[in-house]
Amino acid sequence: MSRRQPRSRLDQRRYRHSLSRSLVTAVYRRTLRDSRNAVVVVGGVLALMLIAAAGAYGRSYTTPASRVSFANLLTSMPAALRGVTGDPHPANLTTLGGMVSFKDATWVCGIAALWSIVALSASIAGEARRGRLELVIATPVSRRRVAVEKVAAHVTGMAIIAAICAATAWLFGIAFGSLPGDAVTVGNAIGFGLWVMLMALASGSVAFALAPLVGRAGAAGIATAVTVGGALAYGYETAAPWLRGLGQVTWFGWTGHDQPLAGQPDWMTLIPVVAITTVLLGTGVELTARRDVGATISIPWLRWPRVLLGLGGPLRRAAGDRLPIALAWGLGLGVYGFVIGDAASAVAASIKKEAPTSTLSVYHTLFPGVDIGTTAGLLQIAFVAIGLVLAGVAAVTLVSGWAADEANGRLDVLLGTRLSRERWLITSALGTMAAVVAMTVVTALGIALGALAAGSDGLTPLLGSAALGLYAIAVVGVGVAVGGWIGARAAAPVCGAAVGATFLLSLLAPGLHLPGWVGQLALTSHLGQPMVGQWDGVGVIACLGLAGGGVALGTWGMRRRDVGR
Amino acid sequence: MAPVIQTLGLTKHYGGHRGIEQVEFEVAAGEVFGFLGPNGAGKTTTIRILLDTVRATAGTARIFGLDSRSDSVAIHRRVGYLPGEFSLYDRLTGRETVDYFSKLHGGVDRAYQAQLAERLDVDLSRRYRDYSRGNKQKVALITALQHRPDLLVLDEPSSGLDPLGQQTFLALLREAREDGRTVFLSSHVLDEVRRSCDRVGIIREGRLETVAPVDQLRDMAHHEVELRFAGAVTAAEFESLPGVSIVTATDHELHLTVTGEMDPVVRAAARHHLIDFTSREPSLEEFFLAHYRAGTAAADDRG
Repeated sequence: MSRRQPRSRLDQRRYRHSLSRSLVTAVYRRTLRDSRNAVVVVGGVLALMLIAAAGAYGRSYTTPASRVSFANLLTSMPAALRGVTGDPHPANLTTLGGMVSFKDATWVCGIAALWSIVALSASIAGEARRGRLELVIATPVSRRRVAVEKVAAHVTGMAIIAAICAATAWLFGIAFGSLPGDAVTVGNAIGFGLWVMLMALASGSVAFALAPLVGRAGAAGIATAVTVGGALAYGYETAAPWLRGLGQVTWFGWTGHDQPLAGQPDWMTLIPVVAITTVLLGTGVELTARRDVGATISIPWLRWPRVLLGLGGPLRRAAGDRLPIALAWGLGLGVYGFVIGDAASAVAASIKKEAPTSTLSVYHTLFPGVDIGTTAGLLQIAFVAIGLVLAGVAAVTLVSGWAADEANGRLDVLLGTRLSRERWLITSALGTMAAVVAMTVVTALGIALGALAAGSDGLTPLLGSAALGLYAIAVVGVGVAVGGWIGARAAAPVCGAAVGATFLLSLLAPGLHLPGWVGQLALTSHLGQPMVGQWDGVGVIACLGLAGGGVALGTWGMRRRDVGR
Repeated sequence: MAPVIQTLGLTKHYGGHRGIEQVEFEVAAGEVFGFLGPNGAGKTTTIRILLDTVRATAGTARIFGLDSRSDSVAIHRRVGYLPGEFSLYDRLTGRETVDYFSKLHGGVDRAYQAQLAERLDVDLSRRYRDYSRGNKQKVALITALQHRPDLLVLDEPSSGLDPLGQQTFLALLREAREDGRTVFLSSHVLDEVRRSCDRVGIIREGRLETVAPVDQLRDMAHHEVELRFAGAVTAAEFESLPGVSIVTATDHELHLTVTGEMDPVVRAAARHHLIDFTSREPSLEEFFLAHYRAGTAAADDRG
C-alpha cells in the first residue's frame, strides 16, 4: 500500500519538515547507538582507574603525618619526576582527591581524549571511506546538519563518560576517605567530569577538523601527536625550561590550575578550551559541508619505498602492510622512552637520597617488587608499566589490520591463488609479528638513546624493551588464534578485552589489596624487571607460548571453517 | 573428455539458513558456462565452494578431476578468480597490486599483463584506494586473467564496468574460449550471457533448476500467439489443446500462450478461415524474468 502523499503546499512543507526531522534524529540516534558500547567501556575503565588510585592511596595513608610526609616527598622531588608520575603542579596532596588528581587525572583525560580522537576522526571520514556518507547525504538532510548531528551524538556520549567520572569521584571520596578534606563535593566532582569532557573533546576536535582534509588515519595521527605532545610538554615544563612556552599553549597548560578533585577548581580556565573546541568542531562541520565527499589531500612525496611494501610474498606483504602503523607506534613509544630514559638516572638518584622509607612504601603498594630508588626501577615504573599497556594497544591495532584481510573480502582473492589457508594464516601472522619486532626495535632505540644521553647504561634498557615486544607478540598470538578459530571480526575485540583485563588486573589488584593470585593472572606481572636484566622465565615462555600456540591454534581452526567476510 | 567442473549433490546450510541444495552440474573443457539467478539464490555460495572458501555441508565438487577441498591449492594453480565482492590493498598502486598477485600466481607474462591494462584502459600508476569502482574491477580482472589460467571463475565480472570496458571484457572471454580455456561466470547482464555463454544454469532458492544451451532456453519459453479469423471462433476449441495455457478471445481474434510444439494449434486454426497468424518468440530477458517470477509466485503460494 502506498503512503499518503501530501496535497497542498502547506502539507508538502510539513511533509518535508517531518521527513527532515526524522532523518536528522536518525543520524543522531544511529551515531549514539553505534558508540554505546565504547561509551560503557571507556566510562567503566576510567571509573576503575579512579577507584584503584583512590583505594591504594586512601588505604595506605590513613594518618595526617603519613600524608604530610608523602606530600613533602612529592613536592621536593625533581621536577622531572613529578612530570613522570603526575601533574607537574600538584595541589592539596594531603587529600585523597589531591593525590588522585596528581597521579591519575592526566591519564583519565588521556584515555578519554584517545577515544574522542578515534570516534571523531571516524565519524565523517570513516563513513565517507566506507561509502555510507553518500547514502546519508543523498537524503533530504544537508551535510552540515549531518556533521552537526554526529558531533552532537559524540558530545552526548562524552557527557555520559564525564558523568561516570564525576559520580565515581564523589563515591570514592565517601568510600576511601578517612581524613578531613577527603570528601569530594558534588560541585568539585562535576567540575572534574567537565574538565575530563572538555579536554577530551578538545583533542577530538583536532581530529574532526582535519579529517575532511587528510582522512581518518592522518587526522587521528596528528590529533594524537598534538595531545600526547601537549601532555608531555606540559608535564615536563618544570624539568625542561625550553618546554615551558610550548606547554603553556596547550589545553593542558591552560587548565593546569583547574584541579577540582584537589579542591582547587578554576572554571574560568575552561573557557579557552571551550572556545578552541567550538572553533575546531565548527571548522570540521564547514569543511564537511564544502569539500568533496571522501576527497583528501594526498602527499605524493610521502610514498612508502617499494622495497618496504613487501611485494615478494605473503609474509613480506603482511609485514609491509602493518609496518607503517607499527613504526608509528614505535616512534611514539620511542620518543616517550627517550624522555624517560634521559631523566631516569638523575631522578632515581634524587629519590634514593631524599625519600623517606614510609613514602617509598606507597610505591611498593602501587608497583610491587619494584625499587623506585634505582634507574632501572624508575624505568620499570615510568616506562615498562605504561609501555606494556601501550604495546598491548598497539598489538590490538596490528591484529585489527591483520584481520582486515578476511573482514574486507581480500582473503577471497588471496585464497584464489596458490596460497593455501594454512600458509596464509602462518605467513600473515608471522608478518604481523615481524611488524611488532620493528615497533619494539624503534622503541628500544629510543629508550637506549635516552639512557645514553644521560650517561647511563644503554644496553640493559635496550634489551629490557624486548618485554614490550614479547607482550605484544603474545597479544598477536591470541588474536590469530581467535581469528583462525572463530573469524577475523572477533580477533581485535577479543585482544582488546584481553589487554584491557590485563591492565585492570595489574592496576586493581595491588591498589585494592586483592589476593596475590588475582594480580598474578595478569601476564604482565610475570615478565620480571627487564630494565635491570631480571627476566622472569615464566612470563617469557608464556608470551612465546601464546604467540606460537596462537599461530598453531589459528592454523588448525582456519583449516576447518568457512572463510567469512 | 572429463569435465573441468563437476558437482554432485552440492549442499550448503549456514546454520538454519538455506545456502544451496543438491546442486549438480558439469562444465566441459573450453566451455563458457553462465550461472544465473536472482539475488540470494546461491550463485556466490556455489562459486565459493568451488574455490574452497566455504565448505559444503554435503556433496562434492571436482575441478580438473581434483577434489575442490583437499586439492584446493593444486586447483588454484590453474584458476583465475574474481569474487563478486572484494577489496585489495588500499596503499598499493594498481601496478604493485598486479605485481604482487603475479608473484602469488606465478608464470605471468609481463607483456600480456601490460596488454591487459592497456586494453582495459586502466592507469596502473594510481593508488588502489583512489580508483573508481569500475577501475578497481579492472585491476581485479587483470589479477584474475594475467596468468592465462585454464579455468576462469568470475562472479559478476562486468559489474561496474563502463560499456567500453564490457566490450573489452567480452572480447577477452572470446579469446579465452578460442584458446581452449574454460569460463564459469555468474552474471545479471543477460546480453553478456547471450553473447558469451555456451550454456546457462539457472539457480533459484538454492536449487539448480535448469541447465541448457543458451539457444535452447528460448525454445523452452512460452510463445505468444495471435490468430485472426474471418469469422467468430470459440476459445473452448483451443483451450484443450496440448501446450496451450492462456486463451483470451474477442469476436474474430484469439490470443494464446503456447509451450512446446505449435503443430496442434496450427491444425486447429486450419479448420477455420484464418486471416493472420503471429507467433512472437520471447527474448532471453523475458524468459529469465518469466522464470524468476514463476519461482516467486510458487514461493508465495507455498507461503
